[in-house]
Amino acid sequence: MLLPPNGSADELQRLRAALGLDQPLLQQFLIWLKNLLHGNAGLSIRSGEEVSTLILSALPVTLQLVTLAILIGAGAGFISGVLAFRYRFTPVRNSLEVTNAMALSVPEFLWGILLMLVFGIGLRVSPFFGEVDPRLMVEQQTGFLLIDTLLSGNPAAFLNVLSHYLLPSLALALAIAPTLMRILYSSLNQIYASEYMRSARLRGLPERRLLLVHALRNAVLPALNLMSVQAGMLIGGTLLIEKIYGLQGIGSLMIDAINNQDLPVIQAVALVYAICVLMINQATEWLQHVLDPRAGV
Amino acid sequence: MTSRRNFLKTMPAALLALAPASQWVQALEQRKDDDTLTIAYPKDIAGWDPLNMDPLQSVIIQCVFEQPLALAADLSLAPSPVQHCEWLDNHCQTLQLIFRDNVFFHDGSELTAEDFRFSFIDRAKEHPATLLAGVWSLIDHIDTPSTSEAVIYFKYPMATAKAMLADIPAFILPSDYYQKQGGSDAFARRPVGSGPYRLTEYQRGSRIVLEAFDHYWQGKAPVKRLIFLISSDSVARAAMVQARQADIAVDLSVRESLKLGSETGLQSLIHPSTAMVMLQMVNKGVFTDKNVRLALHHAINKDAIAKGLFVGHATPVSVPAGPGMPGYIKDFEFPFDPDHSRELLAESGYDETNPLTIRFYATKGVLPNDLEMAQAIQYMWRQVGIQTELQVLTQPMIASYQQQGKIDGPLLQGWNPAAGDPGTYSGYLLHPALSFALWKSDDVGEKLYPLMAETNDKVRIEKFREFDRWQVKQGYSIPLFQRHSTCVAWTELEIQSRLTGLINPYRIRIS
Repeated sequence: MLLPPNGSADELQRLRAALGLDQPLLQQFLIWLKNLLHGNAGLSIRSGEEVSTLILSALPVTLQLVTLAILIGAGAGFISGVLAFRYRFTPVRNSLEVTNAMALSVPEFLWGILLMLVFGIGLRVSPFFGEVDPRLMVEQQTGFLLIDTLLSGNPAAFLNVLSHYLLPSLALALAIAPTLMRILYSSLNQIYASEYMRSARLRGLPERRLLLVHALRNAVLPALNLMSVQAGMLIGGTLLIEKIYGLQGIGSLMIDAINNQDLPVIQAVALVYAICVLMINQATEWLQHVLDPRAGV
Repeated sequence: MTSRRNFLKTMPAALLALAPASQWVQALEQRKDDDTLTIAYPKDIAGWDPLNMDPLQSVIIQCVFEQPLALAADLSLAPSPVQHCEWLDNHCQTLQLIFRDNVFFHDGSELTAEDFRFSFIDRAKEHPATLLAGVWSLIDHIDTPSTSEAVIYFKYPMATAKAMLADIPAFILPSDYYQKQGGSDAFARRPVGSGPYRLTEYQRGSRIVLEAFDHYWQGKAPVKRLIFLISSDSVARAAMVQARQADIAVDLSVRESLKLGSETGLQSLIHPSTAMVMLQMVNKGVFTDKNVRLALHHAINKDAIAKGLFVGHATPVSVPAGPGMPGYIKDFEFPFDPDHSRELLAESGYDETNPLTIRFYATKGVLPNDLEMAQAIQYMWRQVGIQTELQVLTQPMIASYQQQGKIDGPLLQGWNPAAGDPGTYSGYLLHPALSFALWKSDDVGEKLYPLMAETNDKVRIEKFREFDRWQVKQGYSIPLFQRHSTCVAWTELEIQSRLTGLINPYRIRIS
């Protein structure tokens, strides 16, 4: 892969030695591990660039995408869950259930294509390729384009970036919102059957206060638990969504690396995925502890 | 009912919400600039120091850098930094190049013969494991008697040198600037060439923004700003051109191109190109039997594959050249004849009780419909009694298998030297000394070596036609199709169709 098709056997041998591929397997692994602990994930076989540089430039894209997807997904899930429960004896609940079932039955990459077809090509109300309009120049400061546009005081560019992230985030969010809604709905159902809710109602507290203050705080904990699992899956979902929407995040990086059999990049990206999932789990546990100090960290 | 109090309470919030919404609409409604051209492109470049690339990548590279020789739409030589090129000997080992004056790099320095020498000798030595070094490994040295003259001395005859100077990778970089930057990596961060565009922004795998170079020697490009949006996904590229987020989408499937071309405002451009699809044969095992090789060829119905998989937009060929290419032979056709195929197999002792079983190698997704083509051929071979075990390989695996000599059956390959010179097709794919070649035999070498030393291009091409007719009749390769390039664009664009199959953004006009 690193040599041209007419590369000689000598060149092949030299390259193997330079890459350490002539060492025993265990030694190769120890060298890789040692380098990794020193922040050196090796060189990309395809481009020859440092893998850590490739990951650092791609990671902000994925983090922005995942963050927006979590915000939209969690927002939609919580709001629809509360609405469905508040209006549980009305057609509102049924219509939300139907929407929910539809959202769940379509995988996120298909949502990605459908949203692109409807809003990008059909209605032409949203861009669907890349992070920002190529005619807009944004000075890179942090690598997070949403932050960079704000730092450079360019609201039009900020909205342009946001509009580019809207459809892919929405496609990802549709994978988490329905399950959140269902969990929240059933949690609220259970909590409404509990003693303290009956007492509160007997004390004459208004229904809105009962739901939003007394029930929701407790009902949110199982939903939060679920979110940590969903967020892990969300990161996996970025693989195809990033590719479809031309976002150069770690999902695209991984797919390109797989296509090119670029093993150092594949290893490093897989590691980044694992770290991201662990960090999300940790953050969720911390949040649970904040909301309910009885839950140990 | 909304009370006055409620209305007053919600009004500021509504106004606050509307303010960004108006900016949102403004941001979305950025009108297309007349002097900007956006191209949805399937492939990013390997790097801005053009050491390795394929033909698709060369389109982007050619915007920024120039080759010593250039090709016109019909494959003839077009104006280029080299204004005169001729062999100084009669065996293709000494080639003189005279550079034109007033060719400038983007940093303002003038292109000289020394830049050429540096680009082809020094860079190749510095990067031995690259396509640049591989292709030009036959260069012994380059003399530069003056700033406008270079003489290349080859170790062995290289009659294809002129064609390769217009092909990949043969780009001239500014020697002084390159060295001042401190090497390849630093140069790649701030690349400077003499092409019609200079780089203004590059985001790996995502987008490339180029601005027209004011002092380009052929005149400033009519399109001021050129944007390549990179997407390997053909659905995304098609969507971009459909939604007007790109003006041109390149390398879509034939069916998709035809479908989009029928929409209002869009045009589909499908033209034959110099890209060929063929079966490379191997001289191992049963394939050393001429009857077997010819039986394999006679059993393939190329017309049916062209119609079934490419809606007729692939030209069946009998030699590795299609109409319009120098190596094309109008009056030679290798017939589809399954009965004769069965006869040949029977002569070699293969029949229903003793069927011929072979391995067949192909790729998936490297060429349009490559796996489908392989499956169709597999079916056709089965019809004459040949059992095949189809193995799908990736490109790196093919290179690795070739190096290890593991390929023991026909290999479905694409081959695309842009210049279309026959010497760069069978001249390379059957050259006994090159690793590209799977079929290596002495009789090929005997016929091929004199051709590689023929200085008269007309004579050489005529002899290559004879060579190709002979090698196909021997069954040393099975040429299948001349591929058609595809491109979908908005109708206000005038896009020159080129036999190379590659667009030339410098020649695109917005009407």
